[in-house]
Amino acid sequence: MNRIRYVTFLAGILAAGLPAFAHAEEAPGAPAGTPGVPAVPATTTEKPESIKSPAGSAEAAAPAQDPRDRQIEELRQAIISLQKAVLAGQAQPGKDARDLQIEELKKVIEQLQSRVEELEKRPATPPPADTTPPPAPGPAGAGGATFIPNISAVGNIVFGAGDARRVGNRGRFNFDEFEIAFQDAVAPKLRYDVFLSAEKGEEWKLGMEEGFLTATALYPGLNARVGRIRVPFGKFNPLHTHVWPFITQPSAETALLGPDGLISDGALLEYTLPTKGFFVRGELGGWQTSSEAEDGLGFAAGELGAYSGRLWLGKEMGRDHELELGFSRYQGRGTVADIGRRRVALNGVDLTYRAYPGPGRTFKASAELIDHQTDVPGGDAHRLGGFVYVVYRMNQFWETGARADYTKFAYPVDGYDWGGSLFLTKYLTEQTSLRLEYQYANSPLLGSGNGIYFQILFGSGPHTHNLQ
Amino acid sequence: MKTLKIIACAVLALLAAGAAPASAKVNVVAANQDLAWVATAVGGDRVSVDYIAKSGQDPHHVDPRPSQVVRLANADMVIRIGMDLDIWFDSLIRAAANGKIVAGSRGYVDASQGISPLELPTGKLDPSKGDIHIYGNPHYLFAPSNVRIVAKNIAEGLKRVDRGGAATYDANLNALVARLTQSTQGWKAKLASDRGKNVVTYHKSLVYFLNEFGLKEFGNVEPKPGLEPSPGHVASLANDMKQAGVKVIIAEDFRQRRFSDLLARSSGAQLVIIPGGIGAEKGTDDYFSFMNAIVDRVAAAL
Repeated sequence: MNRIRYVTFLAGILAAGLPAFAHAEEAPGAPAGTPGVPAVPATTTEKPESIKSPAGSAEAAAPAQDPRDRQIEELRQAIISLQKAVLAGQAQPGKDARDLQIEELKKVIEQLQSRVEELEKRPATPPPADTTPPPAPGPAGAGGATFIPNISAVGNIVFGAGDARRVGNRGRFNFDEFEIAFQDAVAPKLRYDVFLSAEKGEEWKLGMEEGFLTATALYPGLNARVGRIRVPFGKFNPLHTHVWPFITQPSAETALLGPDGLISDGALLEYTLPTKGFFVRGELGGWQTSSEAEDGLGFAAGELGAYSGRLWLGKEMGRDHELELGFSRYQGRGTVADIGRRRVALNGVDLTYRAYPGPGRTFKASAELIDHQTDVPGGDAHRLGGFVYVVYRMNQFWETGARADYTKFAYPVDGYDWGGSLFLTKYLTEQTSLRLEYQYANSPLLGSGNGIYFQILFGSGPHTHNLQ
Repeated sequence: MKTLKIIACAVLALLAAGAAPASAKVNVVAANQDLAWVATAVGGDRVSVDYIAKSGQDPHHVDPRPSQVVRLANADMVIRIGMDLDIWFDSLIRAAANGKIVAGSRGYVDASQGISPLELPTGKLDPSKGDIHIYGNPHYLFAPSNVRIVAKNIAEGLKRVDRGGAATYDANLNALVARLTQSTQGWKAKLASDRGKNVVTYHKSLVYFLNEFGLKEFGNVEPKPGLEPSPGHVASLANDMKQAGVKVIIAEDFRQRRFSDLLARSSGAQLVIIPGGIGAEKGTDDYFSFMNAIVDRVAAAL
């Protein structure tokens, strides 16, 4: 019965307005110590033990409170007490009348909370006239909302100097690539990412580097993508040029996957297993290879049909270290010189270690080994290539690293390429950077000697990529 | 063939051993350590809270990686900073393929909902203005009044995914808010005599703090948000500070010290290093000790 009186009393306070609450301790019907019913807080309150403040701190030096804040504080303490009463009531056996009382208490709590919110919206004390600029209106529409998809642009200008055969477009600033991205959600759990690219080779050509729809969470852990995709073969191939930490493409990628990497049209399923503590993802794709092999460089098969598989494992070793291991395969049929259509495949292993040694600093070491496998009479012809690189980001603005390359060429081209490079990057903004790379390479086919490259990368607009 | 079978069995056994066990607690993953603390305070014993970016890490630059996907794949609820500060969180949510936490689902909480944004840009934006956030300055957690809003957003999210705990979440929320209200009075009292004074900050990350406590931002060590300071900018700012009598430079502990130190030497002002987030320094393991450290240091320097 006391509870009902208490609820009635609180409802009366709400109806009468807040000032009455300051004298709550004088009101009848709320005797301290009544079982299950908290005493209404007066002007002094006791904080819950779990959140008491450290002694001697700034917060302990609370002065005489503003009347509004005092009222809010009193209301909050009343709410806390009532909620404790609800919890205590729920813990007791039995139902019916007690449940009714609990429901009534909950309603009173909601009313009190509304009152607190209303009070909080009032200014506590007149703020200094020069400290709070009024919020500016939104960028579009009354609420600042737009229907415009995320649009971004990335440009890549490279200057090269060095050996004539090795360094393309040497001696001039070459606008290598300009990428425009459109990215947006089209439905709950469905989004598109389109990356149009204008590239300068012999002539300018406009194409779609990637363009795909992603269906997220089709089943717990399962995503699907359809469209034109940089095939998830290894860690490096899915990366766009502008996110490479260096300027030149690793020779194993050029020789075995292609000068533009391995890009295909098709569908991809990505399934992350519900493991705890380590990352296990399987990726299966069905494709038609769309990137072209040029002058014996790259993967010349699968234009009529190919499939890929990748197992990607990751393990965190403390919060600041991470190890990743991946196994990849891509297989299709292609015309092999003199022997007709044969099965051609790529097999890959990649290993990546990342460390975060301090604020703004990151260290990454990555290695990939690629096996180009061609079915030839009498067995398979294997051509191996690989690269390893390390990158150290010293702070928000500077990054440096080194890379070593070795590769043979895809069957039936003979020869090899090996070399190494050093690179240094200065980030001007999040999307704009200057990069310098020195490369030494030795290759009977691609040319040998020194090369110096200078890159200007620039971009604007919101630009994101999938997990890489 | 036998070898293949053995490998397959080993892989299956490994996966079974690593499979996430059913847990009675609500698994919450926050974008950073600050939000994780608020989630713990509101969720209490009913939640298990993890986070992606630790304090002392610049929240603009977080490298998404596979282990973080694992955290999100097993989450019942995520809490993001919002206001475009944690764009990197999107790729993690997509990669996790967890329907419980995608945008618009019950387990998706944007902690910035309801925050009154400061420095909301207007007109055309481009990188020449620095790294500007289109939805306004996203460093809202430096103002205690905003932590109350964040806590309420988190409580609402927890009630959506765990209705049975509603009373607990409400009780914890109110206890937290009550203490924040009381503590804010103390912090304001500490800085009351300094209201209206000018300070310089490294980045535009303290505008909500300055606004809440009546201080004024005179300038920034960065020439524009996210851009590296230059000696010329520092010299010019130092000159202006001397003329205006600005005595304090505030920088989070994860910022580069070189130019802040140079500015302090050139201007004669005192450089105050503050924790960049909850837990960034020893003894700042909750919001109260974190804010105590900031207020005490700033008040002492002013």
